[in-house]
Amino acid sequence: MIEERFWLLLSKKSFSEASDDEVRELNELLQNHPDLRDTEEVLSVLASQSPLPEKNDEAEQAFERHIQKIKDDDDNLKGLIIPHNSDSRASNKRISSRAKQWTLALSFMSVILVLLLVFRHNKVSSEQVTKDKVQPSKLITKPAQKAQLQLPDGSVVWLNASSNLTYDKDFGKDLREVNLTGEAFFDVAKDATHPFIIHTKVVDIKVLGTQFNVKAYPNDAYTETSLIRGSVEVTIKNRSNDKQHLSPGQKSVVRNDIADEVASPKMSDTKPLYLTRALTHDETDNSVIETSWMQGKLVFHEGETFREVALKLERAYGVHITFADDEVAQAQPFYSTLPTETISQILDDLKESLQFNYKMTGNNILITK
Amino acid sequence: MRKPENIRLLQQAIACFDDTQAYKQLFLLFYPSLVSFAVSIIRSKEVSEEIVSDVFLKIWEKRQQLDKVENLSFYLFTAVKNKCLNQLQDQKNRASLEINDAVIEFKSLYHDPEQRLISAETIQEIQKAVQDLPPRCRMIFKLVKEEGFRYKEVAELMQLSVKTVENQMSLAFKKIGSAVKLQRQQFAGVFSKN
Repeated sequence: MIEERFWLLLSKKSFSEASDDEVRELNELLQNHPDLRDTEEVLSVLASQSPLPEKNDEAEQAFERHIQKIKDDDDNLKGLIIPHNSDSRASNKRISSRAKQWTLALSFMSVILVLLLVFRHNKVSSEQVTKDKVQPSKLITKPAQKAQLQLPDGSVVWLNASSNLTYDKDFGKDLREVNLTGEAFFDVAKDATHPFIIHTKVVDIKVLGTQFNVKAYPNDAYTETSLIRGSVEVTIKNRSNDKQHLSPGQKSVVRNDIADEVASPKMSDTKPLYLTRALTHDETDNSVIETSWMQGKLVFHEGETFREVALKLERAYGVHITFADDEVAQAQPFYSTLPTETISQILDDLKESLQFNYKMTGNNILITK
Repeated sequence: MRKPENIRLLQQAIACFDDTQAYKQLFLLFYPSLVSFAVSIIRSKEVSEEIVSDVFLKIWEKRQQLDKVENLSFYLFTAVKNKCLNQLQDQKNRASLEINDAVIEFKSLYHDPEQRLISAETIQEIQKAVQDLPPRCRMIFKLVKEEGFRYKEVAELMQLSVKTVENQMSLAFKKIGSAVKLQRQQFAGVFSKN
């Protein structure tokens, strides 16, 4: 009977199912019955989880068939997509471009993988450096690149094109601090004892655990913090009294020239330095426009000039756009959201609402009247 | 590797960004185990593949709620089980969960990160002992060992009591342990004769 008990205790202990008392009982058993120890040693290796095979052709082929089935099932799929908060999306639009999305996503993810590998590698090597030499971890995206990264605390960051995210080795010790230039979507892991703070050029954003988007490109006019879920507090640099508490569905808009205003507060115009606004939604499918870059959409705001639009095109397509004519640069196009197409397709679309010509030489685009 | 934190990350990528590549990874991670689990219940490989594909179709359709699923692994196995039972119900009047003596394969039974010295004969003996386990016992052992489920989860999945899972695991250990012991004694016997 001792043996029966031994098998029960050993199996439970192997898979962390045994209570403290049971572990103690097993140890006593082994003490008193040395003959069991040998078996215990061999069987204890059974407990460790086996690694999965690296590649499984059968599963890969099954996936291809599975995708084909989804495509064939399109009509069926439309009605079944469940709207999620304010983020419900029109399915017919997406289905028509699904094949395109898959290929896009595949190429996009390969870029991410490479970036992640580079990043991990850097991180490892920075840890090997002597203790007093603190090297920050850094993730940089080039134009037309995006990347996803998991921070040491489990928070996830999606980095848009032409952006830069850094944090140093002290991340998570007292505070979780990162520096951002450019645009990123954050899904911050809850941890009230270690506040998460994002530093940008003009604002500091304090977070407890939430999902939100930060757009802080230095050559844009505004720094925008758009809150999807949770709560954040946006404080303007060097103006600790100027704080905005955001609720889900709100965004903070801060003028990027606010830093200059502090130095020489002349208030040249009447536009407010910062304000809180509601998030904008796409009229056709009610999706949140502020985070639509993650679906590869390019978003133009109403009243935005062609020059501002060109900045976005430069980041998204890795091109350089020069205006030969200032009047064209100040004109306002109609489009609000464009699907991901080639840069020349987008320019041709824009030509329908604006009068201009363009010449493309490699990555350089010259816009003329 | 199928670590909970990796799966969490995939769930988020699919839920928030319709990340099709993450969806593919998730599919590849679970497909073989889910199909083999389904086969053990309904025998037909073809129907099993169909069922697993249907479950993943649901995952894509409801992807926006995917990050709310706490334990995706358990969720997937439960969904597959329920679909299998529904399938059986269509065939018979009522269905109960029975584990058939289909081939329940183990990916790699013996993984030893500490590289302890264990002879090839012993490993063979263990493999044989596992294949000789009664089907239900073998499936329980596989769910705990390879899928990393808790006893409680296996009990719920297989519609058994936790006590039964404990006993079945204990039985598996006993059979494997005895096989190892026997093999070692024979080995020692051969050794002493020479």
